[in-house]
Amino acid sequence: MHRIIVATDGSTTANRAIDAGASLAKATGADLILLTIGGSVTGAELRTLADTAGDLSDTMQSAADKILKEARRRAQRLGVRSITLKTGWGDPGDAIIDAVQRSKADLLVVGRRGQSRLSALLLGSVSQKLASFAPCAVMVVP
Amino acid sequence: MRPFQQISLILDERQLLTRFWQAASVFWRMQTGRAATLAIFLITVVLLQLLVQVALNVWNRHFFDALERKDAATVWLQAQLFVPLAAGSILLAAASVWGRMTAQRSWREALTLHVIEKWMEKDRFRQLNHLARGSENPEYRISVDVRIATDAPIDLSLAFVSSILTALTFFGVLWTIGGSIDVNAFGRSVTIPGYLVFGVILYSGMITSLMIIFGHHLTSVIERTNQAEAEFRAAADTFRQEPTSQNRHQVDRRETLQLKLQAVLLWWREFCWQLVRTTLVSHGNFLFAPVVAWILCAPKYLSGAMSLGELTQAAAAFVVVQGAFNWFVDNYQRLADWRSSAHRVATLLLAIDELEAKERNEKKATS
Repeated sequence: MHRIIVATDGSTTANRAIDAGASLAKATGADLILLTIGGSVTGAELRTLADTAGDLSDTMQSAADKILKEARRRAQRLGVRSITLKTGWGDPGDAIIDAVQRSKADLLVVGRRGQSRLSALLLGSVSQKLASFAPCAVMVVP
Repeated sequence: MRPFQQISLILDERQLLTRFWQAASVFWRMQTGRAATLAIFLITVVLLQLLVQVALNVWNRHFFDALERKDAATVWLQAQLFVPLAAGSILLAAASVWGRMTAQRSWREALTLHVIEKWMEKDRFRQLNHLARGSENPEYRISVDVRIATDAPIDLSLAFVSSILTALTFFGVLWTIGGSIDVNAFGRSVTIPGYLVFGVILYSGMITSLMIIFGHHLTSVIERTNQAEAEFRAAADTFRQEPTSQNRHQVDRRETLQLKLQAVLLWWREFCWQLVRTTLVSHGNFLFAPVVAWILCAPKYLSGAMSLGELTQAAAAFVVVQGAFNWFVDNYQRLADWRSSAHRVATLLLAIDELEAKERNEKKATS
């Protein structure tokens, strides 16, 4: 195994996915890629930005950077040295599959639930989509 | 020529609008004869349209009064009178389109030529391509933003003048036709003179307040949506202009494009919600305004103090005045579009001004 990619949104479940991915990377000597999909901004946050002339791109970028830095600290604590940080944009399922293809990862690790029950019901769960369509092995962490 | 340092433009609203008007007024200052002729033509059309609107309103009353009396001869006469009134209204609408679009085209031509001249002089467009922040995608600003920035003021100001004149004229109709009404409250009888005027002011005030409450983020969201679109176009343009670059740069550029697209989509999502909210008010108003007018007139009609013709005339006048009061609400979106385009044109002009100033300073330093 050469490359393990872990998708995170900063949630508790995603943290468990990072722990699992980092442990595997350490055990196998694989490179660890930490990926987050940016762009989950609420309507209230957008309205505040609109009224205060804040920059949406900067806000999304820094939110994604914050999640990735936290994820890297977590993985480093578990002893992983080779870590790459990546940010994707757009539909989480599509963006993760795209990142997996581009990085030629051997294993994708994701948490079981990242989004709300309602959106999962309406749009289908991301982990379900990844398990069906990802071009590599997928580990879904409960 | 030595490349200039990056110019950072941090500008306030007043500065931007002043700079925009300084450039945009070139048409009104340099082609005074043509501009004045077009302005007089357009104002005349607005006045004639108002005249026809009043005539149609009076026609409404006579027609329905004749119907109520079952007076076939007058109904037939009124039906014949409607033809020239409708023809006048149609011709004036067509003349208004011609006048507005001619004025818009002339204004756009003058401003575009002015901006192009400044942009091309001494090859400044090459410097701006890479150096001045806030002037990205100048071609788009010169073509599309100049068009929006010159189109909207003509439509908006004519609609504004028309709204004020319409409101004032039909206040008179409401005052005279509606007359006064006696209201019994707390055991006392109170006479309200021109009660339909107060009614329309109260109703319009309520609708405008609701619109402001429901859509007070709309203008800023539209502006941000337009800005995000412009940034996305600029990012795509940079991507296209980049010569064969390293893979790493390609990946960075691709991520930037995706980020900008995400910003565009998020702003559109919020724009959608803002429109949903304001539609609740505007569509509610579309349904309620005529009914409120009928309900306000009903007591006088039922008591026999108002004829059916007067009822329909007053109700139509109520809707017309209410529509005139809605100028700001109806034009929320266009105002926001105009503001963001005017800002982008002004930012480009200010970036060129900065370059000019730097050129002058360099010349002084070398001489």
